[in-house]
Amino acid sequence: MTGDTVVLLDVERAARRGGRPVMALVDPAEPADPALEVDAADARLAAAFPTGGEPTFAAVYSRWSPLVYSTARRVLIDSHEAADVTQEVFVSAWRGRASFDPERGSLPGWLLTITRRRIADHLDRRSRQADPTDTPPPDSGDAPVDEAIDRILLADELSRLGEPPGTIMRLAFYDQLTHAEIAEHLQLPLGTVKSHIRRSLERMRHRWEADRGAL
Amino acid sequence: MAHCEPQTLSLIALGERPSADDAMHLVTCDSCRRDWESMRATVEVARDLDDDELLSPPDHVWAAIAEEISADSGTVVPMRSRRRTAPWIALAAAVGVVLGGVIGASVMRSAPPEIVASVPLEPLAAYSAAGTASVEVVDGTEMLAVDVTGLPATDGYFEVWLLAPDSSSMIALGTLGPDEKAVLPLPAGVSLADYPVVDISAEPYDGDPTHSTDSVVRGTLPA
Repeated sequence: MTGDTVVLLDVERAARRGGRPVMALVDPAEPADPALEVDAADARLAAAFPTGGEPTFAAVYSRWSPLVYSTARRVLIDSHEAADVTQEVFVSAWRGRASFDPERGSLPGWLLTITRRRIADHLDRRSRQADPTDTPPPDSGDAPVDEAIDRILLADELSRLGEPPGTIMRLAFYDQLTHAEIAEHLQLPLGTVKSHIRRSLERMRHRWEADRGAL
Repeated sequence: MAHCEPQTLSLIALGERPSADDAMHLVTCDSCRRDWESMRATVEVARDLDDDELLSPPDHVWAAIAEEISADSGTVVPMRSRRRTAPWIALAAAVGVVLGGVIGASVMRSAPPEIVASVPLEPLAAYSAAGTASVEVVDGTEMLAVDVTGLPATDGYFEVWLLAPDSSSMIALGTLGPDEKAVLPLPAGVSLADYPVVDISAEPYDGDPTHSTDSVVRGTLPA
């Protein structure tokens, strides 16, 4: 969120200096999609990851550690344990980075697969500490993890839609405005608003298919 | 009738009223219904999200990871190639103390550079460059070392800045070398608490000393 603010300030400064417009809505029927640039940057980062050094790894950590930490935190509740899981996941990811194939799956999906395993380890350990003779019940940990991952992927996608789609979707979700009210409020053509809504919902749904992580 | 318009289906999924035709069609068409239901599920989860759904891990997690991976073996790519690998992050934990103004005697005493703060530099917008910035103390002088890879092609050059958190003010520190690295002295009167954001911008050769607003990577030094 802080990043968004800073970028907006840069845009304002560019405007004041008479700099180039950062976002131009060319065709109201098919408005520009700012999220595509974010997608491209993510894809380049994922492609660099398997052979990259520490700077690339640090960027991967910055980009995706909130997904890992938030998932662990939501399931395990304990923030210290969530921090431990995050550390374990990224140390594993660093050591196993050569085995990540960008052609075969998404990097956040790969990281979330490791996250699932580490969370399951922690839940196992907890139940063994509670009752050493007990064998963990089968699949007990999966449903909460699935739900946490679904929520966190949507929150991540919502935060990277860019503008104006981010504002449009927040007005539609949280203020429950109709597309006509949003168009009025933001002074945008109806078609632009409808187009952003459709595209953003599609992106959010697709994010689940791409990144839920292997079960 | 024909299938529902995809845009119309998403509006219905958000709770807008369907037209009589669309409502009738949704009762009978499995394909449109599946599309609508799946978008409806997305809407329901999104509406239930908390403000703090997405949390960043605390700063000490990165420090611990970096320490663990640099202890792995000599195979780790060191942050700066001519330096021993271990100290760079082990000392990151010391940053809170040093930036808080309590500069420990042990930091000041040593002649070889000691890294007192380190932060990953992340790409902005359309860029994919990444790197690290660290504050080092060399013979008692604070320096900012930056090391970046994947900078875009440019007709100009890259400049290193320290920004206030809201970007309202900034200090130009110097330019990056052709090896995408630089070690630049930090002006003694500058508080990193006031200017914690390390920013590298692409600058044209236009003689304009102000920031081009074309930032390539950025990172915020821990407070």
